Amino acid sequence: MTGRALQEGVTIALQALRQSKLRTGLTILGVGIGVLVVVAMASVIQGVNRSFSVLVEASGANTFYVTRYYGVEMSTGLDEEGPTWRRRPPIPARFARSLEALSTVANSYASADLGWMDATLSAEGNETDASILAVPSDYMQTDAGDIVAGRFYTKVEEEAGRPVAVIDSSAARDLFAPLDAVGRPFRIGDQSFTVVGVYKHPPNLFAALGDSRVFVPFNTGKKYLMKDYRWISFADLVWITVVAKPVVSMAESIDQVTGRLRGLRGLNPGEEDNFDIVTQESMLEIWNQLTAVLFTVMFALSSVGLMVGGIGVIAVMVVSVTERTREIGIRKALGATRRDVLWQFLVEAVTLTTVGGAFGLAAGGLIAWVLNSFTPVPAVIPLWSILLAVAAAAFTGIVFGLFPAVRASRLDPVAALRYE
Amino acid sequence: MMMPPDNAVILTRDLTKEYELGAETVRALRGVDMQINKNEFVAIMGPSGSGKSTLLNLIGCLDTPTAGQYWLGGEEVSQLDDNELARIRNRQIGFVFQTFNLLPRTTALHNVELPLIYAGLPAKQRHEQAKAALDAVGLGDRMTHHPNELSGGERQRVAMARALVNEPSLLLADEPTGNLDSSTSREIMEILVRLHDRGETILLVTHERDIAAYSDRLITLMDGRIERDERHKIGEPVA
Repeated sequence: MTGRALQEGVTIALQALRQSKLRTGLTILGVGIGVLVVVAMASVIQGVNRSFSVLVEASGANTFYVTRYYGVEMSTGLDEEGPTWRRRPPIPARFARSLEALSTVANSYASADLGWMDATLSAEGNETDASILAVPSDYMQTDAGDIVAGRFYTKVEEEAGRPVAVIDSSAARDLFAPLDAVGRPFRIGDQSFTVVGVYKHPPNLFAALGDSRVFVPFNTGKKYLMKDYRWISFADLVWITVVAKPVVSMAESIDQVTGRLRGLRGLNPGEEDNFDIVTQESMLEIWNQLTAVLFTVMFALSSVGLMVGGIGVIAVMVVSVTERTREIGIRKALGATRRDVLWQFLVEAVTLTTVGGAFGLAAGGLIAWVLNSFTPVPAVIPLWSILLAVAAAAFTGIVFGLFPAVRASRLDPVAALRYE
Repeated sequence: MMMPPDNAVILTRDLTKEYELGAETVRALRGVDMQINKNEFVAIMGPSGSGKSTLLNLIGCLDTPTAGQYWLGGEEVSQLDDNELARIRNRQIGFVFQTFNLLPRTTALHNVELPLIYAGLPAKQRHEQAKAALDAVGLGDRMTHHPNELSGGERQRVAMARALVNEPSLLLADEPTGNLDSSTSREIMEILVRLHDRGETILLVTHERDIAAYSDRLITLMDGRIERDERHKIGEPVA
């Protein structure tokens, strides 16, 4: 196979493409869609991945969390024991103070995620839904967001359990726009609060897609919220954030914290921990598991596209071989071997699918750009997905172009020359 | 083992070709013995169905015989496989067809380059040789034309340039003037005569007597056998 023959194959294929635009266009559509799916999905996953890392890293590289249970668990609700997190005792908020006393720990505080609660905010006749986070006054040290108006609540307000709250900019807009939110009263359910500050999320997907967010002092949350639920209480939802001292290793700090918690819980050696320690890595791991599922779906979808495209390639190439039977005869008479002819048609098939792939790539890129520019979904096209898409398109051409190419190569020169 | 004489370009012994046509066996060639020497200009004649095309296909290594032997340039080619036959066609044989058989979507130059591509020549050399071959048939100024921009005579001249570009030992012309008017036919035959004068060995298949008249030997086929094989003086009318 000389370079010239390769170039010739590509040239002929492009000619064929131009000559029967509709037919070849439909043929490569499947391949294009397959490639588009790969590129678009990969770009979204990559983009989401990136914001996830940003989010996780925003809380600081030396931060980890103590929770009742960490992981995904399916439960029918029918078994006696209930899910693991139910069976384990809640994490008491006072543990945080005990952990803060440890030599490897710089800072430790309890929070509660009241996202379980149906929280409706209301003010001035406006309503909006929000998810509520009960956090201490120094929470902002480990959050990547900003206070854009007013202030965060103080230690005094927190300890007194004052009904003050920091709401995010979208809640502020929903409730008070065009007025300033700071200093105004509003309600969570039927409990009155006062806005002391407005919070702006760090730029990432989760913030933009989720509910509005409201921060209330931990003690305030404990005092006023989650009163109406029989099956779950404020105490069930507490977790502890631990910030390790920068000079010690995470592992060291985790060991020490684990030891202290086991002591506090009175666990004997050999008994399992009845709490979980969550690091950024373990959060990323869960995310990566999810990503793997997404990639499997993506792979399946694009395989279907490529299969459909591939069958189209067989059809169009069989027609092409038939139409050019005489040409094959001429080439054979002039000394083309079976391999020469095989190559020629394989190159054509691969050119076809690669052109389809290029269109798919362009369309996928366009989708990624649109998503990135006009929706909160971040999309970054990873280089590997471009390479994979092109390789998959070319591979489709080889696999599905093989049958017609073999057929062409086996044509009898005498019969081929006589073909009208 | 039999060896062909040195000056024989073609030597066949009892060349036989049979086809299965449904339940029937068609015996297209029934044992052809023939020797064609260097620089002969042979016309093969015969009515349709006499086996002319079959013989030409075998001589041109486009097909293999059912039985018998065939030496081309001293090499026995009757038992070669597909790839080896492709190589022989590429190096030893130049084809000129009735319908020209140029590739429609490519230039004259590229058409002439084709055999050189399959011979594996580097691009530069290919270009030079193909240009020289087109110059030799007087089409040096038509190199970038596509076949549909050329007249019938010009097309056949491109085909002849293509047939000769690899310097084959044998030129096979199958009714080369069948699709041309009489003055263009004369032009083409005169080129063949010049090639013959230059030393080419030419095998011409035709059913037209005035075309056969350009040759120096006439072989007449009938029912798959050689009926007559006679010397002929170039230019004299054929009876």
